[in-house]
Amino acid sequence: MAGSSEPVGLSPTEQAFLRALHSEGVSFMLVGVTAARLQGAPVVTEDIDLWFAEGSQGGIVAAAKQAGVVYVPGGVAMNPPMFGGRDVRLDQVLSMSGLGSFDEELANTSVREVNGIPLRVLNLERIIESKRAANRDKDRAVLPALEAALVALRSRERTP
Amino acid sequence: MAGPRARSYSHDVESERPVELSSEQEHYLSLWQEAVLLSKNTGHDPSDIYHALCNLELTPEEQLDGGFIRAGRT
Repeated sequence: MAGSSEPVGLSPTEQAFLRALHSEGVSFMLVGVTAARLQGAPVVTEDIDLWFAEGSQGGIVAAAKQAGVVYVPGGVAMNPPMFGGRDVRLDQVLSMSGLGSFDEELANTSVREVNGIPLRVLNLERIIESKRAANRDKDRAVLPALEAALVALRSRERTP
Repeated sequence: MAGPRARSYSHDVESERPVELSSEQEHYLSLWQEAVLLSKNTGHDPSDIYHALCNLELTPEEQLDGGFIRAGRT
């Protein structure tokens, strides 16, 4: 696609955080609209949804500290876990509607390299399944574009 | 009184074309035609399929750049 500027992808702070998660041995996957976007879906979002394995809290805190990411653990003031920072668009997902456990869904991921960082990404079929199960207004709104993207993706898998 | 029916561009695969197309134009036209065929087979919107086909040609970084409401630049 024509364009004069270099692609950016993840912000420097996001990259540092994701690298730190790897160095801390934290198991995680990208889910939601950002994961769908990495599989061609013509959709936009506010954040990068991350789903972590059980027991990752210590690693998340350590990685956030290394990367200079603001991280507020869940439950401090009846809040969900939250990330902050001017160039940070991260969000922690606690559960995925309609899907199996984190460990079960690992089998439904593939690895994509973004800014040189290998990232496990939940397959588009499973993202669609979770959106259908969640069934909020915003989930229903993106479903047609996600389903169309799955048609395109399957076509490309048949004829690259 | 009913006027002339609007033609649906999405299904007008064989409409009149310029005599000469650049290779880039040919490429994106072929993606559109593929999207229309996939749309007919699946019922999904051809424009969504077309944009997904275009997105699949991008690098992961380019895919992300087009997918956020706010940029990740500092």
